[in-house]
Amino acid sequence: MSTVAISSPACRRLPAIGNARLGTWVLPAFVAAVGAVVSLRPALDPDLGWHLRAGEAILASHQASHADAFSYTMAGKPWADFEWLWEAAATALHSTFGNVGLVAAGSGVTAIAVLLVYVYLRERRLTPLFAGLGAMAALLNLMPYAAVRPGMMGPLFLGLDLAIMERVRRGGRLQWLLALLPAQVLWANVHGSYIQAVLLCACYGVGLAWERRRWQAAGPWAALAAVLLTVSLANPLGTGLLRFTLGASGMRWNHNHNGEWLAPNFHSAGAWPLLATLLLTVAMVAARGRVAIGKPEALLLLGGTLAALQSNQFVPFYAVAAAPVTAQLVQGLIQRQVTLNPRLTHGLGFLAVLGLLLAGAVRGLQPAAYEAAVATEYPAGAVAFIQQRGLAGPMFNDFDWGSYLIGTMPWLPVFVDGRTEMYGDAFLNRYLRTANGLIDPEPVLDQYGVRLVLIKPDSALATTLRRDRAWSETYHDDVASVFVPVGSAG
Amino acid sequence: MSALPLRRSSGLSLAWPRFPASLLGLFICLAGGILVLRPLLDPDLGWHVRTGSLILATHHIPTVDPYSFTKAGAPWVEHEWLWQVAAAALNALGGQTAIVLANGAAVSGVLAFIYLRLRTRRIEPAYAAAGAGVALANLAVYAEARPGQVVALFTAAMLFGFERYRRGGNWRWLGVAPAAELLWANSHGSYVLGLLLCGLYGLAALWETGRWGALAPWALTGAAAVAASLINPLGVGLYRFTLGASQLSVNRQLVHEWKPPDFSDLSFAPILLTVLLLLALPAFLRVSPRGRAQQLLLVAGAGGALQSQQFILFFAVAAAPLAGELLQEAWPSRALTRLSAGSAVALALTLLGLTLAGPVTRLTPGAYHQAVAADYPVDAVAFIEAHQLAGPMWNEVDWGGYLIGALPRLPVFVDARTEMYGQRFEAETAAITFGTKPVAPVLQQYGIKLAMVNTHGAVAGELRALPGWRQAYSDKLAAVFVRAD
Repeated sequence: MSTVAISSPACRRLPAIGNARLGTWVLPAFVAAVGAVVSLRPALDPDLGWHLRAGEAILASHQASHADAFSYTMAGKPWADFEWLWEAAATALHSTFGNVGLVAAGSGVTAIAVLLVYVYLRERRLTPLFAGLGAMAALLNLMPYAAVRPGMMGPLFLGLDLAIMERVRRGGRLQWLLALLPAQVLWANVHGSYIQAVLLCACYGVGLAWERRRWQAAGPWAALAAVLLTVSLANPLGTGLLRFTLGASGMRWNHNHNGEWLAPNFHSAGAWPLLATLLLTVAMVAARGRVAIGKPEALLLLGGTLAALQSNQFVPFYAVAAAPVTAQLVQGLIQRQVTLNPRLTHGLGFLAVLGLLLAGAVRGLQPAAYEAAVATEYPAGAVAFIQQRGLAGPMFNDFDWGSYLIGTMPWLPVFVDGRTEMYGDAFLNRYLRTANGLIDPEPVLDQYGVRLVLIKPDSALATTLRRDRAWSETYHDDVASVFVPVGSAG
Repeated sequence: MSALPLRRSSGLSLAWPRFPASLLGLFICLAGGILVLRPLLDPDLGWHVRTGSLILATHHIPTVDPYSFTKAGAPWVEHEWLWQVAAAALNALGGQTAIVLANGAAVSGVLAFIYLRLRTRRIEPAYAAAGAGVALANLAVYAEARPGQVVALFTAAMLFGFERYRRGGNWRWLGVAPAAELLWANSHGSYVLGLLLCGLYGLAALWETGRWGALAPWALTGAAAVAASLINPLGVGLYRFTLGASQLSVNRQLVHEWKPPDFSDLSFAPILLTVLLLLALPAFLRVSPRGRAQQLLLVAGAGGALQSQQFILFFAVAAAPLAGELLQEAWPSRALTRLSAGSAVALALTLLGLTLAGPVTRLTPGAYHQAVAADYPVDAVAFIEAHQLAGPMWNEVDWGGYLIGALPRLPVFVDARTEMYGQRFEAETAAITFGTKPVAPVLQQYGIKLAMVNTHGAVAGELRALPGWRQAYSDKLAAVFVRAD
């Protein structure tokens, strides 16, 4: 029997492999991959239905819609479809790859946005470890909003703008700013948050002028803001887009009732990342230490915090522009170089984490799980019932389901959906008072000749219609109730 | 008071008086007291005062519900008895005006404690007044006459005592904590915040010194405070009750003061601006509060205020005054040390203006009645009394407390004592109020003959269409329905 020498050259190399350095790309790749994987979830955005229908119309007619084609209450009325480019792209993806294509693209957008935050923080001279932590803070705050929707393009372009502006601020070539122009044109044609680019310029301009105590330092940033605003006009609405953006932000109904516009509710789990980041920031600035952030960052931090506390709409802005500042505060407080040179063991750990997250995401995207997720949020069963019975409209529907119905029952125009700017305050208030049982529903239902009502079973209107002898509840499940006039075909 | 010579062209030398900057502190204290002299509109005041009167009359704290017919005789934990007795005694002495004045005095006292605490921390008078002023901006909106108001008073007193101890080492100042805790535990469920303060100061002492021994005074103070809090009619049961109340999800969903502040509402602007100020000063001027205790107070105060409106007063007293400290750290040499005679006159005129615009206008009988009638069904109650309508009566939950006080003849259906009614009952009542459940089965179940509801609410809509009921009265706010038989 022979023995094998344990100290063979192959064995001696094993520890060396374990200690092998993986390079600086591992951490950002991990952060981006986490961003991508945690965004792999069913597309449940309440507006997705009408976005895809609008995209279909654009691809078919090669022009953006200017009038409402989805509701009967506003049929033919002017409608500013300012997100037309996102809709066309989403529809093209959807028609080729289905929902999986949309989810994958949405996940890619989140990953790129997070990666851009990492690049931005590296430009700010944060170590890879703290830049990674900052990007994770951004991701944490983005997660409640990371869905397949035009709004997610905001964080992406915001991250790009910040990375480029920071590079120029740190002495990079001015030509980098040219890259902002096409980005701004795209941004203005995919989502109303394009105006945030101007706010970034303002923060940089005012901050740098303050820092250098020379107002002239703000000049280039003011010029950049003017140019960005000008190129934003390259959209189907022209200057009308600006008017529309300002008009939407002034709508009272949005501020009072639209969940996306309401202030964050810190009792809801969706707002906990924001609360945690805010408190961490307060703790960091309160702690005696070197709180060394520049004036532009301080303005972004304050502006982002103010905006995010005022409205959920601005949490993505906070996530990208303000939350990462916390990582810089932590780095400044620690006051010593903390770096991470990823080794093979770290890489394996990262892969294990990604594998676990991916397994969870894939399970949630299985057809049955996907349908179950949709059926929890939307009246899938009621829609199947209406189709099966061939029920006809006009239909009164719940506000939250309007877009879903536009997508799933294209032959049945809706009463209302999430395009609040088109419906206007007066109409929406009347709808809400009807749905909440605050006014007699009959005048509204009579005015529009409603023959079908699809609402939540525990809504005030459902309670009212159940005791109304003129209406009959022909279907109900945990999500929805369907009412038709007594004696009708339903 | 010092005097500076002022030369005139005639050669005559006049001395204009100059005043110490601590006058600013006095001004803030008085202004705070005046600003909160306004009509009492707290929805629970009715049953608080009635309970206090009951305790004064019987010398016994009620243990079963005396106010509703839906839970009549059911166990009721009355943990705010001391505040209620004080309010009832004041009410008996001088009516609601006496309660209003006492509330103003309490707010002045809170601001005085805050000012003195900052002075103890070697903050210059002008900056200490600025810190108290920021606290006042937060207090002014939320300092209603109600048991929860004691949060501000006892927090301010304890923090003052703690800072005196930290500065001079005289342990007697720590005695403020058990004394305050004794009163606090018998006035409001927020008494646990007093224990939190002991914990924060203990943690800060440990953090700053790195010695476990530094924790000892605070641990002993905390233990004494816990012991003092147990001197209450419920004993240890008070802790069980407090824990149970904090876990009621119906409180967080339906009770206004348990909800987080909605910063899109302008009434919360003072908190939002204070949070931003406390972020902006360190971020722009690179200053930070001195000492770990203050840093912990800032984080705890901000976290509490963002989570629930209940903690806004704690934030106002514990965290907001740090703005004064940060300002002094940023501009140490710019503190005002003396006030000119003109400034003193301006402050006096401002107080006069606040008095004329505030209490003198708002507390006249007409204005007082109008303010109450804007929120509560004053005229509907008068109608019911004039016609001697009989119950059982259905009422909106928000009016329950008012009706217990204003209509003692008729037991209520529900009021805001969520812990007594229970989660299920309150949630069902809310569902009926919001129209998501019909009211008819409940009317049937309790044999209700009279309903006082919001004129524009869902229940009014249902009652108008419900056979057997007729609307006997309505105004902009309330409608009264009676069963036809």
